[in-house]
Amino acid sequence: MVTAERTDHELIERFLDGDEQSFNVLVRKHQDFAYNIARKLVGNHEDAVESAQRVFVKLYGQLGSFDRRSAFTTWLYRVVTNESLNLLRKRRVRRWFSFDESDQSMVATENDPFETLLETEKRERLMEALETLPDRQRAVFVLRMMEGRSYAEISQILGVSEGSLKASFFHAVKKLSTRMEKLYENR
Amino acid sequence: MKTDKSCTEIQALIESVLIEGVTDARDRVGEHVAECDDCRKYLNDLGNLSILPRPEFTLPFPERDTFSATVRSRIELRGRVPERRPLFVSPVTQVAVLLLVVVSVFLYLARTDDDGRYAVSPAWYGEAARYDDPYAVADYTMLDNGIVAFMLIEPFQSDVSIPTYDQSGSIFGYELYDELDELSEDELDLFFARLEML
Repeated sequence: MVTAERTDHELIERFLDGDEQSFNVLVRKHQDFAYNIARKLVGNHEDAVESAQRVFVKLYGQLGSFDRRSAFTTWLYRVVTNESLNLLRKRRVRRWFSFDESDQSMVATENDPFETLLETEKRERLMEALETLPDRQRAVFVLRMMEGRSYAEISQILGVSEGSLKASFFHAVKKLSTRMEKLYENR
Repeated sequence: MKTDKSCTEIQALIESVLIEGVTDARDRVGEHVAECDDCRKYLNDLGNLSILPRPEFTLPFPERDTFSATVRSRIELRGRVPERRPLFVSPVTQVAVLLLVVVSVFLYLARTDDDGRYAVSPAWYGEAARYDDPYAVADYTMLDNGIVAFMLIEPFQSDVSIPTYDQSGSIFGYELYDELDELSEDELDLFFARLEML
């Protein structure tokens, strides 16, 4: 982890010294990370790609202000989360989720086709249920439950107090649980 | 149904157990949820959610290969300029600038005029009179514009006189400054006489 962060910092240093190629390396290194977070937050492939690309376009002009005492990924979490939530607000009129059967971006974890199908269905229902959550609750749930971040880290990422985050997570769990039950009942 | 302030703490422990895999708190959670409906419900809800497969996404083909290039083209399209590190922050730049300044100053000071003299004062610098005379001129400096500046020893330390010239180019007199103005006429005569000795 230390080595990875040092490498990130080295790439940033080199980029700031004028090495454009270092920025490309940084993008390729973290593109899946950014896309993964964005995808969980915005819920569909197109918006997730758009969000992740916006993040890196934004980073290109802001890497100079990156505080090198902290981990680059923590900073990236913050930028991706904020960008994704902004995108959600702007495109609220659109249908957020558009899962299709041929979604290639979902990583399969089981080799058994039947198991894979069940897992995929469960994931899809979870993502579908996430759709019903307000932005902050969705962000807290994704970062806490899916990304395993601590409240202290999420507080840094979202700029919200830990107390408020705990309350948001509590409500998110209650709503998602209810929503998941309804989804299973209707299918 | 038991609901008290400890519920908040127990809910945090439930999260620790189910999300972070902390096992130490299991017994305490178990004791509490046996009597608390709200916390038992929360444990069930979070437990059901925690066993769901967590989605992980990776960029599919062809975005995986084109993502970086697309980002680059969007940057160029917007004409964004990166916030570079200021040049003076770079140690290499600092050393280079320091060397440049030192060399520039050296070359400027070392340049000579047509007579081979240093063009920048002090061009001539030396003793003009006896040091044992309290009114003597101790040092003088010939500036490159022809003006002679005199530095006096005690009691007129650091006073300066600037010569004025007549039409033939000879020294006509001196403009005196500071303490020299306070000299008596005799003292000034003596001072001018010393200057004539130069």
